[in-house]
Amino acid sequence: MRRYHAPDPWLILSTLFLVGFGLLMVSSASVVESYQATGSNTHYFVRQVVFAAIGLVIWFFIQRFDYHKFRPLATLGLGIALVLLLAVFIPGLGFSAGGSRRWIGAGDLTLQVTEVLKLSLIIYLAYWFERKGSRVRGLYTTFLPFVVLMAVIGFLVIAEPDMGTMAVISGIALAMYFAAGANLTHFFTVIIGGTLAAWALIKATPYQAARLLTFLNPERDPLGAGYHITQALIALGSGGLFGLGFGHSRQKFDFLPEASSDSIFAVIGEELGLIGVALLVILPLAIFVWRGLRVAKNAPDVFGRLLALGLTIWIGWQATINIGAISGLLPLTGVPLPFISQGGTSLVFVMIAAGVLLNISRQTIQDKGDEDPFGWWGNIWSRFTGIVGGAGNPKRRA
Amino acid sequence: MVTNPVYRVGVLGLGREGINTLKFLGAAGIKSVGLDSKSATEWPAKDLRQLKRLTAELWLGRNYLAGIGELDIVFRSPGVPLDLPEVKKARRRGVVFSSLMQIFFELCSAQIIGVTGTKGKSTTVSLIYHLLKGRLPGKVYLGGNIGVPPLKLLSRLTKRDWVVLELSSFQLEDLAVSPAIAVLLDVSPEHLDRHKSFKKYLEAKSNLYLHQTKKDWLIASADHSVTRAVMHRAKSRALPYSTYKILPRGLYIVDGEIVYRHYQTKRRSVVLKREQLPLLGEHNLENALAAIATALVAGVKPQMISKRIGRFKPLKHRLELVGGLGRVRFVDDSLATTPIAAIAAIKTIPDQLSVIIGGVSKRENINELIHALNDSRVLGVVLIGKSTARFKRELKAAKVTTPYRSAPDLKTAVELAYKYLRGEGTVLLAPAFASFDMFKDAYDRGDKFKQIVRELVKQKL
Repeated sequence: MRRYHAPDPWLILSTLFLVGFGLLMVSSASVVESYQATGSNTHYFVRQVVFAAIGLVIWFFIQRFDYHKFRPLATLGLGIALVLLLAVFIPGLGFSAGGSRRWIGAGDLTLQVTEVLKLSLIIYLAYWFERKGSRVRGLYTTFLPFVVLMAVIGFLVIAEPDMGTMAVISGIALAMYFAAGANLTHFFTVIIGGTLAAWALIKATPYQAARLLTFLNPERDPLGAGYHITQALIALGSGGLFGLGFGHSRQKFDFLPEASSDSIFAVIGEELGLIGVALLVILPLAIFVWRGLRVAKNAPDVFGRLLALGLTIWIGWQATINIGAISGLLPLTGVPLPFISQGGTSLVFVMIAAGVLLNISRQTIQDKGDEDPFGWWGNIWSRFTGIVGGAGNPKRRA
Repeated sequence: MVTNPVYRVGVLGLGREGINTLKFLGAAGIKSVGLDSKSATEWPAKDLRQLKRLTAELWLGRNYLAGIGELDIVFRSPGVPLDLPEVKKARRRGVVFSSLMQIFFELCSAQIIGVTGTKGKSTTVSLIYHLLKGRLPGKVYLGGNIGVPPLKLLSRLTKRDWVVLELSSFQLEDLAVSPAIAVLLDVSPEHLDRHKSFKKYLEAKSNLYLHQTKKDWLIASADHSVTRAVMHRAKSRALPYSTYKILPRGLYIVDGEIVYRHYQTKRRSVVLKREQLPLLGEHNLENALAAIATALVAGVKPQMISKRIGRFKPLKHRLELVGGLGRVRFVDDSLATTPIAAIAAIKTIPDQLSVIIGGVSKRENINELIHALNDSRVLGVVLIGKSTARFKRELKAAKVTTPYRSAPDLKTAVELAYKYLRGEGTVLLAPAFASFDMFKDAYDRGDKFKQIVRELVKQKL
């Protein structure tokens, strides 16, 4: 019998807030795109609402599904993800957009397979590293298989090509490798080797090289390679401290590419300003990551610890890459902002991740910090909910 | 036949408790009818003489229930099932069924603390007694299975006194009164052959709290769905405890400290450190929490609890360390009479061990026990008793890699278990079943084990 206690309330609140806020911002940012593509202002928004509803339902059921039961599914899951990743290249099944093949499916129903890959890889690595135990420090037992696995996945993902997702995946995998107790020499060898491989790849493909040059010097070609980042920076700049007001973005009128998906952060910055972005996007994401890492720290077993860490790093690292790219701090890549960007697959899979994390948070070994997770504010929270100390009340009385 | 009104009291079941009832009734000037399914020839002559002295009439043997409808009041021993057809019929005719417990509850002027649950009743009861003794204005008495028969206490009790009682589900079955402080430990399926179904078993236990008032207390675990459901249903003040959850009110553990949140004010106070507990094992942690919660509710100061708890001695045959030979320890857990208790015992032993297991198996599920035996820490399993065949079958079916052998008696079993360890570890007697095939009872089994260990140690030294 699994021992469940109350879930982490911060995780629930930040997840719900981010989903709700994401819908709100999609409703504003997608108007122009939606009208041009379908003739209706709200088509994209309505689709996103449907996906959010599906995501919330899945989130609710996943948080009730014991995360230990993912262990036997780990290998199968990764296998399916790799097959899907290959299927992208089958003509007629795979779809391409923006120069890369990332989707499979037909008509309006498409699946971005890299999202499936991220989730299944995290589950698989958590399972795999746990099974290694102390052999995780070995060269032949862990290091080489790990490098081979990452090389295979890297090859498939880069072939799409999707450098941004590769950055997210390698960040997650490295963090999990480190947390599992990797030999530091091996760990840094992977990092250096990976960097060199990435450098060689950028040198070899003109499309990637152009992106890097654009990152180093955006003004070089403002109407060509530097167009996207220039428009994003214009959006952020015109937003200033307080923003132009909700719904008042001008860049979403076809100036900014991907305004409601990968670039939604620029639209939020333009409409709500630096303060709005900090309070409504970065703060909730930071809370999510903070509580996620806490869950990892207090998880009851190694599988739970690595799984919670991987899922948290996924959300946190992907958000960092997206926000960094839009604000010109990192080379521009196409990864969505978790919870917020328009896109069904991303939202649903991020909700699955949040659900699994929430399930782990119900099985942690609680410490003093869980007794009163809201501090002084907890009094108000408990007045309304009857819940004290993050624990369910066995008998509520007046 | 039964003409004198005095005769119309019957005592059903003439075991230990039945005889106590007879004595109590005799002291009140009532000579009653004794009923038992054992025929006159089966009784030892001495016991039969005593019974004859105590009763007006003895209805023994095959048709012992034939005349039960003529009686007015029948005191039933807890061992006799309530759903015998004759008993049912008599109840319908208006015969009142009562029990020793019922009289005690009705006549007792002291505050009663009643403890029930599947496992750990005795440990909890004695710990409660230990914590309360001398800390409260009145006197504290220990009654029930491990203390004095409750009726003997009756004349001594006053309003300020406390009685700590261990109540089995059979005693609770027809009790129409509830104790002032009811303690409900983990409820899991045991005694299934008697109680027909788990639901009925639960219903039997429910008498513990059903007749409580708003002023009474119910102390129960928040970790099990069954006891949680019970707390929702009770009218009394329900105080939960938990080994892994943080509770808004009640007793729980966080960062190695046992914390009490006041029932009304929810104020937090640390009662004691977890290391201070004198009991081994996870299941004993629950018992200790229940006992501490009871003491707090009864009005013992937290400082007193933390002071006294270190001096508590664990009970006999309950994970009792009975001897050592070189680097081998011998642990007696003869009272682990269910698979669940045996699993708990195996989990409690920190190092490598060999297990002596077996007895008369009931219908319990032993899958989890088999799983627990398939642990790298378990170096060998020795099977004793009637359940040997069943164990062999299930161990084989589950493809368990742990070596196992059967032993004809306990002595060879101990020797085999000792050999499995190759000089280091723990020999654990955790039979998982009742003992009636080879021993008088679980205590007898534990005593024999102790004796064998003592002889073995002497022999080898």
